[in-house]
Amino acid sequence: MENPPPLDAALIQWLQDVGDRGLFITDTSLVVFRWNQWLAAQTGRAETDAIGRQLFDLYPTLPERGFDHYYREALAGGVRILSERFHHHLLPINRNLHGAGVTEMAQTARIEPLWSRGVVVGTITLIEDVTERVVTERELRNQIAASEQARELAEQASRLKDDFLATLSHEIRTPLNAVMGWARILRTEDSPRARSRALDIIERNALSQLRLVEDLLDMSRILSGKLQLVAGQVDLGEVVRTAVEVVVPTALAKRVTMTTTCEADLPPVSGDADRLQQVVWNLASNAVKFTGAGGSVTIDLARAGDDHLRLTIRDTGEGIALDFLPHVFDRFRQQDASPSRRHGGLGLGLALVRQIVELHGGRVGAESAGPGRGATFWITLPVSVDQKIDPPLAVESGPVTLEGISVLIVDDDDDAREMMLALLGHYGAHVRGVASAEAALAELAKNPDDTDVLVSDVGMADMDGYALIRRIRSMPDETARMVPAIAVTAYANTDDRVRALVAGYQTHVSKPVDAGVLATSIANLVKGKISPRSA
Amino acid sequence: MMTLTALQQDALVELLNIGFGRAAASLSQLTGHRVLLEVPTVSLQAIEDVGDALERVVQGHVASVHQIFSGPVGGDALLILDESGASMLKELLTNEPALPLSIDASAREVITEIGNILLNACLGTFGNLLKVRVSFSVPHLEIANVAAILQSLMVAQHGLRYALIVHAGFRLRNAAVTGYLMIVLSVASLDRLIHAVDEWEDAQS
Amino acid sequence: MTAKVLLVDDSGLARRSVRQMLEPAGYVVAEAGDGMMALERYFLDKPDLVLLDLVMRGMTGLDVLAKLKLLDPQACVIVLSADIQDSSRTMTLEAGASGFLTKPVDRETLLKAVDDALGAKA
Repeated sequence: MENPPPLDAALIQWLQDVGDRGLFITDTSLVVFRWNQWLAAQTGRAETDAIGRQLFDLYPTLPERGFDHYYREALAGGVRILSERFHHHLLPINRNLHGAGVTEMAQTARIEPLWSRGVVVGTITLIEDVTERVVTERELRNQIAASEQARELAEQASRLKDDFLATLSHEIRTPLNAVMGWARILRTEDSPRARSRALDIIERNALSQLRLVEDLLDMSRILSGKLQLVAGQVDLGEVVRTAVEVVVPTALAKRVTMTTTCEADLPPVSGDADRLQQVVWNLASNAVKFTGAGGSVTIDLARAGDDHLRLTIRDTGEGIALDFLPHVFDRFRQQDASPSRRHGGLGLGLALVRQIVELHGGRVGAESAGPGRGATFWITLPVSVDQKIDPPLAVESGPVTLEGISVLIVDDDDDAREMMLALLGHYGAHVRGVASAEAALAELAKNPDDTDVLVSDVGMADMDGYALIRRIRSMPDETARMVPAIAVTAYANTDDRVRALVAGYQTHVSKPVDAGVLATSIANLVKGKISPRSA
Repeated sequence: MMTLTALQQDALVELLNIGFGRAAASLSQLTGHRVLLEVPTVSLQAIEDVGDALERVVQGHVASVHQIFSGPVGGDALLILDESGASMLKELLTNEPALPLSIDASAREVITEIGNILLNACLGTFGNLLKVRVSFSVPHLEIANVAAILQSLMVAQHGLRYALIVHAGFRLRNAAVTGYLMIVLSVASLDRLIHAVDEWEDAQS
Repeated sequence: MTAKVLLVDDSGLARRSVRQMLEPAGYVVAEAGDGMMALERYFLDKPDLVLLDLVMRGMTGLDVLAKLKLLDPQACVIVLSADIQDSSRTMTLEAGASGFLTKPVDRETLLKAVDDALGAKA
């Protein structure tokens, strides 16, 4: 047979080499006589292995899936298109697509008759890889779903705020109306008893108004990060007793029994006594509020493990619906928010409780067996560790030098750590750096005298700065335990700053770190260091 | 503005290919000749843009067979043939020469019947495969230019409408006939159609 | 006795092509172009079998089928329609049709269906 003209041969070679799609040709018995380069590479089946073999011997799944029907159609002159959506793939081919978890190649394919002079002499199959398209479309669908969800959440939040504003308006007006009404009566009433009663009512309503406004202000302060906590050593037992005292008259009036038990010799917690009192009062007064006559409220304060205290407030009152339980500490959420509800208020109290407790490094929780079956609220707070270290003195002006001061920098971000080492080095400090809280603990344990000041990032991945300082403040070696420490907190996050102080740092600087501010803080800390008082 | 993803487009093309395959078999039976199909192409356009798109490919007068379909997916279906294609079909079916369509009553009858069969073949296939039931109205033939046909179509339309424009080419007796299938849908119907395709896909796996 | 078939379809072409298949096979053929005419012709010509299209102006094929069955429960009707949907087939059979054929129909299929329906009737 003559050699085919060069152009034909070139065409045949080109088809063979086509790099971006699969192409195979069969005769009318579906025996493969061309198998292109792409197919060889993707299926792992070399040209020599495919040519001369019947298609369904090579791929027995094709008749099982009914695809032999498509090839028969092609042999009868029909073109068949196989979309990825309906068939996923024609030939089973594996494909690794990193990060998307797809291991099978998604394909579109076409099966066509091969015509020569009006007669079908074989079939040609074209295969295209659409795996990336599938992944992209899937991601797009997920993104759309996610943004739908985000939009729904935003709408829900907005609805909650609207409900809140409506409630707020009502709650503010109600006592105001009472005050105005009775003030008018005062003007006209002469009898001392009537006047006394009017004044009582006015006072009561004005107080409740005041509390409302204070709650609102607190919440607003917390939300904008401006809540100031004063850190000190707090005797939680004392706090509980004082808070309960305020609630007892109301309980007595409702004929609700209140019982308080407190474990002996409890260690102090670190925090703001006034705020903690607010928390206990809130929980206790809620318990009484939601308990009917003849019911009881039990308050218990005890240790929970070595380093926490737990306050439990149990009541036999209205209880909490199980589907509301997860939301009981949310802002603006009340179980019954209808205008005709029995208990007034803004639904802020428990949200404030949670915020304050969490700022103290503690946790809150609620349990209930259901409506009518009472409720139990609990909070845990970490025990304070003896840290009679004085806060830094006022910032001094004048050139700062850190000569002779050795500083230990703790930060898991290599760049940040290197930068601080360099900056402080300029001021003459002797600096060392470690990349984890664990390493810092090890260093302090080994050479407690080698560190004058500790500077630590609070937001580290494994053990964060708060946990680090708590561990340090309970180390056996006194020098290590008492090391002055500075927290490096995230930019503009007031919560961090408060938490740092409560956890045991003496002061803080926020990112981005200003070298001058850090150096001055270190200098002041060292200067103000007084020999530790014995416990 | 709704668009079809490439994969949705592929799926629609596959469905249309099957539908047109059925239509081609019918045409083959009617004419007694073998019919070879090209792979259909489909594009989604807002109805306002259809006029320009079609006029670019079909000039002069066309024969348009229009049927309204209703059901979970509802809208208008049109088969559009240019005059020469329509005339050829008439000749093949009746073995009589075709006169200009405006005066050839028998040709008009033939085209209407063919249009009816082809539209049913296509949309009926969709209905069968996607498990959506479609009911058809009586077919209506109009001979006019594309602009006029779209005009009369738009009269009763409200709201945003989309058109799936399918280019269907087939060869009979070595002559090429090109037809356009136009499916006009409201956004809701288009959405349901696409969902039916997606559900079909899920049912497969 | 030759059997009589009534063709009901609004397309003259459809009626012509079916007539061209039935007459050479020995059937007598009557035609009606819409539902009303079909009912009239049914009671005038008393055909043995009706070949009925579904989509027509005025009364639909299903309307005609229902009316026919009401007036003559023995009526033997085969639907011949361009509608290829399975659901349509099911619907018409449930409505009392003896058979369902899709257009375009070839001679053998048509004749077999007509034979079978008339055979069952007898």
